[in-house]
Amino acid sequence: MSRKILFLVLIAAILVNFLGALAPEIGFDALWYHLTIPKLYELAGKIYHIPGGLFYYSEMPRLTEILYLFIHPQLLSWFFGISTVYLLYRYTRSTLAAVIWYVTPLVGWLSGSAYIDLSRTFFEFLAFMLIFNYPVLAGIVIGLAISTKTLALGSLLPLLILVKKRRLFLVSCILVIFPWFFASYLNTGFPFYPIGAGILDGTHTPTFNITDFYKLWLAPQDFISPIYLLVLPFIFNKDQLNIKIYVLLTAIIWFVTPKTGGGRFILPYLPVWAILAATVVSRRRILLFAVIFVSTINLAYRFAAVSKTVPYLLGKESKQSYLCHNLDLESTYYQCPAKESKGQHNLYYYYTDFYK
Amino acid sequence: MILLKILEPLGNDFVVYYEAAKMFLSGWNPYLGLVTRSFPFNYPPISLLFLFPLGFFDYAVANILWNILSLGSVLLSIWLIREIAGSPKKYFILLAIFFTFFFFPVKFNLGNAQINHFLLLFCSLSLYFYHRDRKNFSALFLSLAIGIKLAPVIFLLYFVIRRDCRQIARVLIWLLILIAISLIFVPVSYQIVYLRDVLPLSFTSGAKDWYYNQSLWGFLARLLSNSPFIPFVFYPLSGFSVFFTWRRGRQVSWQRALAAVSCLYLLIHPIALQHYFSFAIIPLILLWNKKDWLILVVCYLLLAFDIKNFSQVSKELNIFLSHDFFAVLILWSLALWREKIKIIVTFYWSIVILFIYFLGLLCRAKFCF
Repeated sequence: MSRKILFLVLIAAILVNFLGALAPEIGFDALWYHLTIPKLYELAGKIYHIPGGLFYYSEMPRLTEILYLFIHPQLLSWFFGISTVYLLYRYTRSTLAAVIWYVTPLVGWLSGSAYIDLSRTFFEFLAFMLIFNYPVLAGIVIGLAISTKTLALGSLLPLLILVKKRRLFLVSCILVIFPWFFASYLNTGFPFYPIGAGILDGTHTPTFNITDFYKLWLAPQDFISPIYLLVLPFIFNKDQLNIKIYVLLTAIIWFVTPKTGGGRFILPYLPVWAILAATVVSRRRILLFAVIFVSTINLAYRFAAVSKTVPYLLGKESKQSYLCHNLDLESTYYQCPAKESKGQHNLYYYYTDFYK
Repeated sequence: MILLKILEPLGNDFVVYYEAAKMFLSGWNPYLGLVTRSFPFNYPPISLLFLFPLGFFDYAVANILWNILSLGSVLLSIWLIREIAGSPKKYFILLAIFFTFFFFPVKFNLGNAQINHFLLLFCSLSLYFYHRDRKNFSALFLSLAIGIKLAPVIFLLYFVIRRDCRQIARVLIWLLILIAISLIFVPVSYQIVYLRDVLPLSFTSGAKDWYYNQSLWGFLARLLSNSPFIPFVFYPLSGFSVFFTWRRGRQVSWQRALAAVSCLYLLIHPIALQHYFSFAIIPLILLWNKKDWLILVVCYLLLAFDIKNFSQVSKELNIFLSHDFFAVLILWSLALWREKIKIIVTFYWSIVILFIYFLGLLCRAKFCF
């Protein structure tokens, strides 16, 4: 019975997130650079170094942004989300881990946005799946994750501990990521630009506050799921050691890296955490009820958020009206008839309007 | 450190007792207001029979005497509870060290020069004599504790569980005797002021979300930001917990039933400040067994520490401010449902975590409590 409920919740979440992916983008970072950079490439007809101070992230690895040149960005995010669900199902042969990971407000939001965290998550989890038997492939795939976001470099540590043929793994990874960092070095003098160039503000400095772990699950910037915290007292045994090593190391990596992305920066590790959580949950009936409760609440929460897109999707609301109602005009610039926008960093819609 | 200072005057609360004693001996009514405090003396008139000897000494001597007797009371209580539990005598030193040097409720009591150690001693003496079949002494000491502070009346539930109606009657008779004695020595006008003006102050809802209030009400007040709905949750939950203690208490050993009743003393009191939690010594000793050592150690640790900068704890983390409450809740559950304690603790843990998450989601959706 509970399996059926979980399966239905998962399918419902996939459908709700699909609706979210069809609406116009309203995410700050997406409008600032994830979408605007490919838009500029498209306008110029080439991939090039964007000078100036606005797009300093344009020198970071941008595999997913380049994919956006060819595929609808939000649908691609949604696709990476359900692909990760598929991988989780293949790995665990159960929907439980998939539900724990997927049915959260964070994944729901990212599935409807052009942020690149879901593609990174897909590559990171695929690399974990491959690490035990296919070191070369794992190296290539983690290279793709790093090509999506530089922060994925941190994942090399747990994978290097778990992999048996370290050199093969490392060489294949370096071959994939080298072009990005070399190009950045040639253009700016810094391989990890803007890291090290001294242009990032104080929020990008690592903070070491132990309560961050607690806040991440219960009072986060972007809600994830309390299940990871809920299972914590029950994981102290000798089962699934490889997974526990990965979980511990990725928790440390998350802790020592800047937390500007809120829950987004831990998301790529959560599929593996979800496997551990699912193992604990499957042995305790109370926790299974908790998962059903949380996923139902999360689904309802996401559904309430996505319901705002329905008038637009049914053609009863214009794109401009939708954006004026839903964009955060305090941080993002958009010209609305009755509202003053104090925001900035939104060339995406303006280039579209200007040239088309 | 506080143990090194007991030979010095300590504590704000002692001033209340001392001033009440002095005023009483001077023929002034302490229920109309104290000398240096903005509130009146708020203990029942019987307590004046216990406190008035303080007024014969000067402040410093009385305070130091009080501190020494308070420490002696807690040590004697530990000895008596150990006797009741049937633990070997050799454990006394160990228990005394853990429940004095490292146990915040006891240190807080001493630091504030509070009265709770004497109540603990009277309750322990009552229970000790009860199990030595000296039931009149038992009734006398319990009625004395009830006379000083109404809350120990919850221990009557233990006699209800044991179907010992005679013992309840003895306690009530002793209580009537104490009231009669207080009527002889404490003028009726004082008693009327106490009943009319002071007693109702105990039922006001002020400051119940304060960190030091570790009762069920304190927990709810912090969790729900002092919501007006709290009484509607608190009273039914308190009623259920009394009912379950009574019902389940009849099926388990007397030690476990007694431990559960002791926990109720702390759980369902609307204001159970941390210094009341020296009463948690009773369930901690009575429930000790090797099988449950981990849970008991966790409970002890939750009770033993305090958060000095509690006002710095952010709202999202304020669940940690209820550590004593959780410890006693777990002890109460262990006493009544030892066989299923893992499931029960998992249940509590799940409920609390899910509830906080749910409140957070509601708040994000602009429905903040």
